[in-house]
Amino acid sequence: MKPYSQRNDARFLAEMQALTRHHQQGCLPYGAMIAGREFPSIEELPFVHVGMFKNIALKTESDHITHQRNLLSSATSSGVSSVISLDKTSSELQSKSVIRILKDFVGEERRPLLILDSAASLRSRGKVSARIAAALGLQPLSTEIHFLLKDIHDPSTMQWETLLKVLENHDDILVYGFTWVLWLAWGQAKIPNNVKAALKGKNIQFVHSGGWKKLEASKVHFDSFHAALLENLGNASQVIDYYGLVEQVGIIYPLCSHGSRHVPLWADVIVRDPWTLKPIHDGPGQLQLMNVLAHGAPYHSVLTEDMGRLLQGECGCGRKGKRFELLGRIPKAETRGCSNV
Amino acid sequence: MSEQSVNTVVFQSAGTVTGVKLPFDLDAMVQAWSSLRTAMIREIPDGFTRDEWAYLISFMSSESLNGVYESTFGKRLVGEQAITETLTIRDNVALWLPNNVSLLGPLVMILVSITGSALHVKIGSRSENLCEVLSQWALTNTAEGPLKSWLENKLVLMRIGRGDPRLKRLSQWANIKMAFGSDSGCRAIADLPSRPDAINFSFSDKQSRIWCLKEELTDDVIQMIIKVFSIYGRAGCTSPQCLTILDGTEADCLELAERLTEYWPKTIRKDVEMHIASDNVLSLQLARAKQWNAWLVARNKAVISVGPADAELPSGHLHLPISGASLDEATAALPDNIQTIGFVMSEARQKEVAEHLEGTQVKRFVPVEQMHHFGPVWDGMEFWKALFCEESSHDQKTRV
Repeated sequence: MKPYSQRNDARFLAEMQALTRHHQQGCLPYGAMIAGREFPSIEELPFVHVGMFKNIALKTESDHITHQRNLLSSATSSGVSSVISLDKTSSELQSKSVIRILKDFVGEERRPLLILDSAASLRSRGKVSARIAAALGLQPLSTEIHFLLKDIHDPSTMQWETLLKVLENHDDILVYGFTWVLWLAWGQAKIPNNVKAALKGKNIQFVHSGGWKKLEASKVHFDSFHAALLENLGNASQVIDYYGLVEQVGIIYPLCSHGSRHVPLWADVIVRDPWTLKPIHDGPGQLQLMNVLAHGAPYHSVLTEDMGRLLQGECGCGRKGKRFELLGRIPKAETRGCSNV
Repeated sequence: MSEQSVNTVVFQSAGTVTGVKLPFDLDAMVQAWSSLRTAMIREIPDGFTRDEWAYLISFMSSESLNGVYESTFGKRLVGEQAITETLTIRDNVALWLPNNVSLLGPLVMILVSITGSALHVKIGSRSENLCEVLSQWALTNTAEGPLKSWLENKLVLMRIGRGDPRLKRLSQWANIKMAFGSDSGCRAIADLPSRPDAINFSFSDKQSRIWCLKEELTDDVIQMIIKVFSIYGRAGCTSPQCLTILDGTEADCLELAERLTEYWPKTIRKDVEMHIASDNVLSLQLARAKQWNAWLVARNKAVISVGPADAELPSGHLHLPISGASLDEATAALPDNIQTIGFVMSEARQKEVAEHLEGTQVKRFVPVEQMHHFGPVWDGMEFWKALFCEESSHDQKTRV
């Protein structure tokens, strides 16, 4: 199934209604927080505020659900991780979803996958970090996987020799990293001359996620980020920035060549007024993200703390369906009080 | 007139006549603060909210500032008096303010200024510095005199990080150390090397509550509760963490919740910031998930919830949980770090409740509208009186 074409809204609504009922029955806190049983339109479907996953264990129990492990967010802003309970059914759907979306951007061809992380990050029982989950989501597109960092917190531990060996045997490579790691370890790194020479003319698809917050703080501009990564590479090389949340695992929103983020058939995006929660069709607001993949916990409809706006008309890239522009996080200010907050 | 006679102010409380020796003319200092109020009415400098500025205007009146002396030392006397104790300032006051501190910084600054003590303030390294805003504004708007002199020569504001070596020197310099902050933050400040006779005041994590009687909840009272709560939400030590209707039923609580929800948008016209509106949605869902009955106020301005008095309070900055409880149940539900109970009740019931609270950890029992009022006694500590020490206890005669 192609991810971007005209959607059957009635079918999507029916699936979302069924999922909502499933979570109401199987997840006690969700059942308590969601008033009502009838949700006659997509815009009336209830959502869970994204902060709930940092504050309360949301897990849906059912005969058909086998919970496997927890997915943790990076906790860069608040210091508290979101915890998403991953189940077998959803994980399979999510994996297929990510691959279908990515194939639409990087193509069907399998190639070596280089991950800007350390192999040690994999070794954690019962839980998986958002970083590793995102990287391993690309696994079905790969012929082999290599980790390029010895220590994720130290970009100077970049394994240039590993990269060199892969470059010796392949012309097309897929690279994944968190945005700031990709910049520190590769974009702004002093690349050894022999690696530079080996990179020349190679086609590299850089896929990155995690947001621009850290790079904005370092005044790294989008254009200089792309220019640094693509220097001397082959014409088919590209840098793909995608937006995704652990609370929407399985759905990613790559930025297309025309600056849009396209909504796949099995997902939806609603922009809401932060003060009234009413849908906004032609202006900026708070993003609500939906998908039909989440069976193990009620993250099928999430009100995020990100701002965005829906884009009207057809996109120049040719993809069909709903699309939006991501505008960044809701601005925050320190709450004034005394000491006990 | 001798220098001492100009600067010694005499007060009488019961049989004690206290002469307070000050390094400046108290009346001129009080008048200087008070005179600023006319200009304050015309202009709110950036950084202050309208509520904060209005409270400062009231706090800086001569009645209020003279009241600080009189509530501490007794009625002010004029004429020749037999002084039974003479106090002088300890001087060298160090104040630590955390990043999110509200008006407490400027209020402490004003209270210290009227003693003439030197004040060095460690302000939050990333916060809006209200002390600096007020002191600059006052310097621009006050004439030559004791206030200008104090601001220029005795006040030092230090925006430095927690690990800065100057903090150790500040601690060693101070005769009085005052800190607002978390328990651990205050402990760390108290543990810094100090003079052997230094006095330490830690104003750490505290909580407050509203107790009211159903029959006292008029429309005016409801609007007043909304105004008081909206100033800091639940972020301040004086902010109500919840409201208890004494002897109230669940139906009483639901009725109050409905009236609060109705009056809130009429009382607080301004929208909350976008992230607060979003946080309120989260608070609503968290409360419901924990089985509290909860509602969002129009335009996501706040959350009101109703639940049992003995249940864990639901979280949220602008979330007011309501419960009904007997006096014993409400007392049993008080946290160890309770500071203020703001009340709405008849005089007779106030007396009964005040007696009931004797021996508890409650530090203040005040009408709801006074919950955020700051004064020379805080968290049960007479910190302002401690800015003075006894010079000698022999009889002195002086004309003032």
